[in-house]
Amino acid sequence: MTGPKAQRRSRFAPCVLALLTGTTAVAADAASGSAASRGWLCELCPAPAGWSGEVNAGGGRVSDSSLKFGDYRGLEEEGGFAALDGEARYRGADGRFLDLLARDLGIDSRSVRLRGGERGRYTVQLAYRETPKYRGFGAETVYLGAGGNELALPADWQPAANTSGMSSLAASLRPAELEISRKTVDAGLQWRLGPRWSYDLALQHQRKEGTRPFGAGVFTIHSSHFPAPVDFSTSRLETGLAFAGQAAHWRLGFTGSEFENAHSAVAWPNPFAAIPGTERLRASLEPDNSYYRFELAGAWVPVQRVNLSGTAAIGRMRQDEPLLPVSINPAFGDLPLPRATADTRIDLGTLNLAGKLDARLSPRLSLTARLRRDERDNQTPVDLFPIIITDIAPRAPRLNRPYSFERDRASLSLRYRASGAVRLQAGADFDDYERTLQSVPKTEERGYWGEVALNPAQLIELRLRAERSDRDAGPYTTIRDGTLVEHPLMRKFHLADRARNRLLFDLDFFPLAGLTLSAGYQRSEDDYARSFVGLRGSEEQVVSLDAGWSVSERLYLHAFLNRNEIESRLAGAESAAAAPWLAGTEDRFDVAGLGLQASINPRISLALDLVSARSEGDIRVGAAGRGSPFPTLETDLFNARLQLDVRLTGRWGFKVGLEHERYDSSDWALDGLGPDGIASILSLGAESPDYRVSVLRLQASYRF
Amino acid sequence: MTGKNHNRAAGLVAGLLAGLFAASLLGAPREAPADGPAGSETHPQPEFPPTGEYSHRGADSCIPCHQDSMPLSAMAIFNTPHAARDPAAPFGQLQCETCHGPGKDHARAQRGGGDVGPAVVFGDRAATPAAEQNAVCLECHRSRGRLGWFGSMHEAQAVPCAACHRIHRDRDRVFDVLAQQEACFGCHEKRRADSFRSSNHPLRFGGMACSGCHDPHNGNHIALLQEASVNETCYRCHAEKRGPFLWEHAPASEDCTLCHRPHGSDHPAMLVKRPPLLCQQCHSPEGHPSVAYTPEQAENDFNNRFMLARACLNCHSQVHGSNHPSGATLHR
Repeated sequence: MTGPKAQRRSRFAPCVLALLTGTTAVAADAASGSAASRGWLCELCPAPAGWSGEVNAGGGRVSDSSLKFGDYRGLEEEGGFAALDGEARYRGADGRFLDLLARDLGIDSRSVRLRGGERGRYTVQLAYRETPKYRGFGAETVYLGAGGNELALPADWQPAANTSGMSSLAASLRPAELEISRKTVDAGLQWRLGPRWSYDLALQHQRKEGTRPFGAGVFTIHSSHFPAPVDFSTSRLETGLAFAGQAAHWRLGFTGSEFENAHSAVAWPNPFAAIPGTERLRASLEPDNSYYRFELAGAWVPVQRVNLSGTAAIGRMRQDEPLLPVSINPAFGDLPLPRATADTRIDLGTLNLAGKLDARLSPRLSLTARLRRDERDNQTPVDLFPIIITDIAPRAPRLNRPYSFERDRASLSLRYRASGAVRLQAGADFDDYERTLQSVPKTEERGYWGEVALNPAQLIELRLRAERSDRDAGPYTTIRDGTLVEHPLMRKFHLADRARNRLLFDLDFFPLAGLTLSAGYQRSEDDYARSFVGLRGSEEQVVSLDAGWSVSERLYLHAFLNRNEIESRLAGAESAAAAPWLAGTEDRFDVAGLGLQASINPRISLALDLVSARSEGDIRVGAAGRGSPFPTLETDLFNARLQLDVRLTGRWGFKVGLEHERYDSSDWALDGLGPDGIASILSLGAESPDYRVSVLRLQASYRF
Repeated sequence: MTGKNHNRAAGLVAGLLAGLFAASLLGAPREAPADGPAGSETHPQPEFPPTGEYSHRGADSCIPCHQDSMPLSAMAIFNTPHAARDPAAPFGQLQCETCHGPGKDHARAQRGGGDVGPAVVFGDRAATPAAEQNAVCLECHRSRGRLGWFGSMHEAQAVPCAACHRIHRDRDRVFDVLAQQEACFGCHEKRRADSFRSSNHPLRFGGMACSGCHDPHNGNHIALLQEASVNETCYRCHAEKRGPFLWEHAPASEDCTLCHRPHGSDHPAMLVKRPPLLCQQCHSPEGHPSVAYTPEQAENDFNNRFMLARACLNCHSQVHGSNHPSGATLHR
């Protein structure tokens, strides 16, 4: 738990940081010459170290099984595991180098990174990472064939009109393993072609395999949830040629990405007593798609203190997946589609243009002006499609609606350094959004802001910023595209008039050498005063306190406290003539942490972190907001981590890691429901998770 | 909006490219002095020219006070590319004084027990202004996202490169997926708190870094994102959501953050709000979308299907879009 502010601890900070930082060539004038011309021999500079590194090997034990604990982290099962980490470095006299970093090789979140090359000439990189993802804690399913795209029910399954009548349910339930394993391989090259030219290449291949929850059914009559297959592959290529000139720098880049899904659809049997034709149902899955983009980015310094920079990018997203039949229901399956399945093609263009002028008009006054244009130009052919809602309900044919937009933004900001202790900023932002096929063709937003930063003494830094913006949405048209018609007073919040206010306050205080105290407050308010149905307003407040103290060179203490409240109000109406109902939501987050890093002596170091994170979510729905509240949604996390490193000799040592995490949660939408808790939905019966898990790691450490 | 926009865009791209080429040629580099530092080739008139006199022995003047055993050790830099004896690297030019500026006064004062710092001191609260510090770094590191550094939020807030980067260490923390957070959370305290929310990206476990989505240098992208838009940034890892789908869900195609809170939420899938209220912010037709789902309704055998488990997603699973010809209502 350190950071830039954490590094502000010492009155010696300037000197310390002078040594801990810095980069490359300062523009010394020609008269300064080079080291060689000055006869600087660098006799005290150390020779390249050759090979060095550290290998940590041992084992660990997880006290209890918990998928939530193992989410992203691995270690989801009780029992032992191999604790293997390490790093190796090579530094050669000829400038060649190699870095190998391996983490958590014994568990499902393992990663390895290899980076090497010749300094100043080229660098190559190869990396591998696994990330496990778990969902649906305690989930159960009756479906067989999870992971495939053709699910089945047990042979003795007895359909029923509702879940309580499913006599074979209890005997058929088995754990639904909703796990996705993400495996990513990265390769990269940076090649300096000459004093001005460089080339870079990055390749990535990512596999996601497993299952995720999916739910669909027949109209609003009944639905079932099941593990849907995930078998995704994504390949990505980024490459660029860059030029660094006297006054201009630019890079021409290309990005290409291909996504493949091994399954274009998933089909499942209806577990309910089915209306004829809906015994088996089918949904599409994410289609194969591709994306490419050319980008030119540049910066130009026409005269000193004036920087022009910009980006122009043009790209295309496409998918050419064969369309499924209009329904799996034999009664509708042979309805003709307007486009031949093999020729189905969706084109979409993107254009991003950004230009920026940054000028230091004087040593005290700077100006930044920006222009930006983004386009999403959806060229998908528009055709009339026959519609069979949920394989049972024919509806009037509908035209597909390829949404496009153009967004133009401009901003102007001025920065004035009144003195060494006072910095003023102010600016204006313009944001115009034009959309097709939506209720509002154009929104215009105008924003203004100001900021004061004060550094009245070396002990205090203050920053106060205020922002105000108003969005004008103009006339709102209710869309009539064949679906149910929205309430005439509905205003979708991203298309609605809005007034937004934001206030930000930051204080950094440095009362003692090595001690930093920080406090922050943010408040933002969105008011949709002309929205009578839909989102009507929201507020967010953040209070944060942070303290870091370098007690000595060997002991660093850190603490933080953060409270975040998010409230919103929305309104609905069950018909155009009905009285409105109101709803309010309030989410509160409280996070507190303590930490220390200590070097007890040159051979023993210790790190301890304690974090408590709680959240509460309240929802109230009813006439004029007087409805009774839902039970509070709660999460409560406590995490304690201790890391002890002991060097027994110059080469040998050991490491002890101990982590304990407690998590409690409650969620009225899940808890106690079970797979048959909703009469019309056979769900997965997931529960909000609770766990207490401790992990002990013990590793022998060898340095070379 | 048709293909003509692409033609116009292509014209703009070509024009910009031609302009930059022209600018490159107009500003054709001078021949560098035979013994001059490489930096003089790319920026003949530095905004912050070095002042003072250089030391007598270069790095050999500095190292005796900055050994590993000393409190202000700088020796780890010899394990980094900056210490390469390449003309493009600091140690191929004026060694320590390439970045820290002429150091004669500093060296002399230290030997005499004085307290004169280097000409250029790096750090978050260092005496050297951030712009002057950063000019040193940008002299060489100007590529990719740094092309958009000037005018970026970090530049406007006078954040020095050295606030995040640690180049006198064996490995700069910002290149480590876990350690990078320390650099970001130091100022963005709320994001650290957010990382402990129950529904989240795998930041806390090293499954990704802040730089997976953000490029902290690139002021030409909104919110310092890696890509030109929010959605294109999300599609880097979630390409399955990219489509474009036959039946689009307009807000999903426009901006993922209309429904998702990417820094963490207490609601499933990092949603900003719990369905059905999330959906009812935009959907109000008569029938089940417009009903006031109260706690009492959760006990109702008909209406609880719209509130419990996955709520609206119990049936409308295809909220990111559907490719099914009958998928207009995002059921299939």
